[in-house]
Amino acid sequence: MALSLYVHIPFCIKRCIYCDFVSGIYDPEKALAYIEALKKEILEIPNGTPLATLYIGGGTPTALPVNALSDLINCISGHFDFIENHEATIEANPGTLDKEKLRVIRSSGINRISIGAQSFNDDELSFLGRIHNHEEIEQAVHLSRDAGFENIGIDLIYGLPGQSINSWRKTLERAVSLKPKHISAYELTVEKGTLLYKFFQGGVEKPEPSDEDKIIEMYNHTVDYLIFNGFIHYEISNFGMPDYFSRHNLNYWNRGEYYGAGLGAHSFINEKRFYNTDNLDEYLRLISENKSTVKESQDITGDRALSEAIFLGLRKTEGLNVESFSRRYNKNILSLFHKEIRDLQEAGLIEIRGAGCSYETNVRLTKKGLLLSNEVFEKFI
Amino acid sequence: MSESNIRNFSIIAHIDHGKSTIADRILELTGALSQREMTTKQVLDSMDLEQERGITIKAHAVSLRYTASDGKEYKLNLIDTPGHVDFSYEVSRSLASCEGALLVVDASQGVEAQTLANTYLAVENNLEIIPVINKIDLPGAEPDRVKTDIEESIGIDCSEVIFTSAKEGTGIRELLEAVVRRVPPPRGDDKKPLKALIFDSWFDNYEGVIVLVRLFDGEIKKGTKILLMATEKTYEVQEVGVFTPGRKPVESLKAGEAGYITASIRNVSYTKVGDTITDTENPAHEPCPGYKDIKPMVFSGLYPTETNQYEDLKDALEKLRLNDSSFSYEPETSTALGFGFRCGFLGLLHMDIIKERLEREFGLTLVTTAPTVVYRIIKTNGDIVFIDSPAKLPEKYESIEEPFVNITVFVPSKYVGPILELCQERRGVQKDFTYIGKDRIMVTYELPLNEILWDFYDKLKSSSSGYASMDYEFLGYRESKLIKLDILLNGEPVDALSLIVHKDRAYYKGKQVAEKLRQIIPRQLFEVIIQASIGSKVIARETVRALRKNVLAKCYGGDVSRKRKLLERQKEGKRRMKQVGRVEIPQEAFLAVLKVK
Repeated sequence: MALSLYVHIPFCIKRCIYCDFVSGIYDPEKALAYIEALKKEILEIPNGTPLATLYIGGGTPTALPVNALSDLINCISGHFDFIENHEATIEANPGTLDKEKLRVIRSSGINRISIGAQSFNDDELSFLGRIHNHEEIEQAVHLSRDAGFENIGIDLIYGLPGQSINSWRKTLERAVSLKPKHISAYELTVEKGTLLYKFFQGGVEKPEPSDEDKIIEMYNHTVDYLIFNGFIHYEISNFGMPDYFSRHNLNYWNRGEYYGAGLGAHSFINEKRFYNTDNLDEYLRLISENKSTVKESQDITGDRALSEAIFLGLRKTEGLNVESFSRRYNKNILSLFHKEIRDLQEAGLIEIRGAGCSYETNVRLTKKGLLLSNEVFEKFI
Repeated sequence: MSESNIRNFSIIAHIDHGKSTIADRILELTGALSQREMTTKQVLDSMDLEQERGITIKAHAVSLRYTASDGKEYKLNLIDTPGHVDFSYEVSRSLASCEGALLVVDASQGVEAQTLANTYLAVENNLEIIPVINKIDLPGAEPDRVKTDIEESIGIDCSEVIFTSAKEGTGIRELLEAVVRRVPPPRGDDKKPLKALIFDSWFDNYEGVIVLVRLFDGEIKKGTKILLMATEKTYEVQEVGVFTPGRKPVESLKAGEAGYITASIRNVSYTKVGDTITDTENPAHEPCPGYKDIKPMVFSGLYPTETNQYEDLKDALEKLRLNDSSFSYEPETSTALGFGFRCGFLGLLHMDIIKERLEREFGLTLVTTAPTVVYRIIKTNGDIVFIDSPAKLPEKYESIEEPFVNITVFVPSKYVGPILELCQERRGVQKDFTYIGKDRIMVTYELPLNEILWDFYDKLKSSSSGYASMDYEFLGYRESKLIKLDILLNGEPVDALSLIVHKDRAYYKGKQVAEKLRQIIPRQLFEVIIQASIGSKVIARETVRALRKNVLAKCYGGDVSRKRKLLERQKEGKRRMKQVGRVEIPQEAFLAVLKVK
């Protein structure tokens, strides 16, 4: 099976109000120390299996200076072999890109760029705490293309407080007009500990059912509009042109193995999930002392593995294939969860397709079920 | 020791006026406990719950040796009393076991309703009352004002009041001297037939029931064949002794003394508080006066959230009942909630305590239905039935009667307005309004017990900045215009949500309950229609819209455990709900009916 590597860059120019990922404000000295430590951690990862995908995420990887970035990427490609046709992604903030940086990134072997656009409305961008405007997004896409990136993805967020359906439609239109190969559209989630959370606590009402209706309309419009424009809706929040799905993310949903390197990064190797400390100083110290950076580790076997397979697999619109499920887990999902599946079918949340012969049979979420997926997943926990 | 050197006394006080601290100081001063042993403060309140809530649930008795200033040694039996209105019968029996009582009043708070109620109980039992003003060390203390307060409101002589600060240990010796000097020694005759009053009992796994008794006449020792006069049970005494406060067996207990006996009694329901123990071979002609077979006043259904906990709940109730004969339970079946138990309690605090113990000590998750009083139904054929649940109301009946209580409230005059309003709102009829001192008022009202079942006490406290105190006594059954209000979910009546309400308020109550349920019942995969109805007439309708979206958009990198945790939390939340038909109902919904005016 394919192996993936995730590399985390926990630095940003500015913190966005909704973000609760492991990241802090970019500091040149800290960043240099971090890159050195990160390289050390990467070089400790067994390199017997070639990488199918690499994902450099953050934070804002492109907040790093060009030298540091090429240094890191060269370290990775020096240590690992890649399979042919590998996918190597970097996340980019439009406010941190220039021609030279993009050229270096591309020429060091990164072949996919995921641009954090979030919105094309400047008021919304400033509300979210983004450091760029809509013009810079457009420029970033053009610059990326000029630098040789053909596989360009755009990330968007909808469901902002006060956002109108019209405004979201315009954002989608502008994104599509830039002809990316991939679009991720995430509903804004309010996470504890973020500025946005405080914003909601500080008197602004909790979203009411009318907001819910609006968000459902936004979601449905997203699906319809992107499909109309040639994208394939392959996961709850993800859309790609044929052959341009995010293979790195698909690997998560398929429970493939992956190493995570860097602050707070998660790994899944050998039926074991483990993750690194999310404290930068501690991370640097542990690396310098040649100690493990792993904070917690858990074996995922038996029922846990089964339930993971279901709640991750069903995120994909094609759903779970009964045959491959039974090959991997030695269980027939249809009989094992007979009652749950029947109830969910009756509720119109999942459907079974191609019941004729088992290797074509897939269990998948219905359109209604996509929006109620947590209700579905819960039944398999 | 001769009777003349024995003193039996209690401490009566309002909650937080310092009863337990005074008891601790007495134990310390008489050497019953070293200071070191006092670290877990308030030794008499030994149950966790008691310590947490700062109240005494079960009475205890401690036998202490004290050498007074006259040079003689005395045996002081300190008999503790439960400190809450729900247990007033137990209090009266503890007091009946004494010749005197310390009336402890907080030097800044003054007399409270409970002080008054318990003092009256002491007066009824002919006790010598020694007023004690405690917490004189506090900055807000006004001992002189409180002294006048006691004289005016209770009408007892305060010329020999004792000032104490139990916290600092001042005045405790004076207090013990007063007990020796002023409390009369018991006057019994150990040659007469045995007459011992039961004032408490609890179950011990090894020895059966441990019974606390006060001997009025006769003598009891190991081997005595005893008769419990009310329950007509006979046993042979295994052990007699006293608590010092550790358990200490003695040769015998004689007239005038207090202590414990064991007699391999398997169940506390045979050792009823207030019953009299006598000798089968030489029985007393008459029992001690004042015995009552007390009946639970408040009933509520207890159901396991998960049906497979039914047997566990049954076992737990059985175990609790071993130690507490004042609560009752019998199996009950609800179409909505399945198998559970109808439980009877002395009052709301009692109900809370039992429920909390079931959840805490036995690890159960329970659904409690709205507490209700016992209604007296006069059927069309003239038969009378008592019902302890709205579900048991017959279709046809002549009239409904409900229990009424007389409540006494003490409140500073500046808060009296809201208190009167509250009592009025709860169908109260004012009976008395008296100034106590310059700025405090005592009001009494007659109102239905049902009206003070739930939040009355909290409302009383909140509308008086915590200053009002209350006590109540049962008056009897009176006819009221009552009807049954049903709640339907998606067309199906949910029996556990039914209510008996006053006719004049049924409409608003129905509206409010439906509205409240709409807020409490979470959105489900389908629409939930809530209706309130009287008979076949629907008076309110609310809708919980179907849930349309519950999705985790984000991808969180490879952090799968975070997703799992989120789903587990969601599942756990549902596990705590009760499924009625297809509708998932949170436990709090069953009490929601009470949270409306």
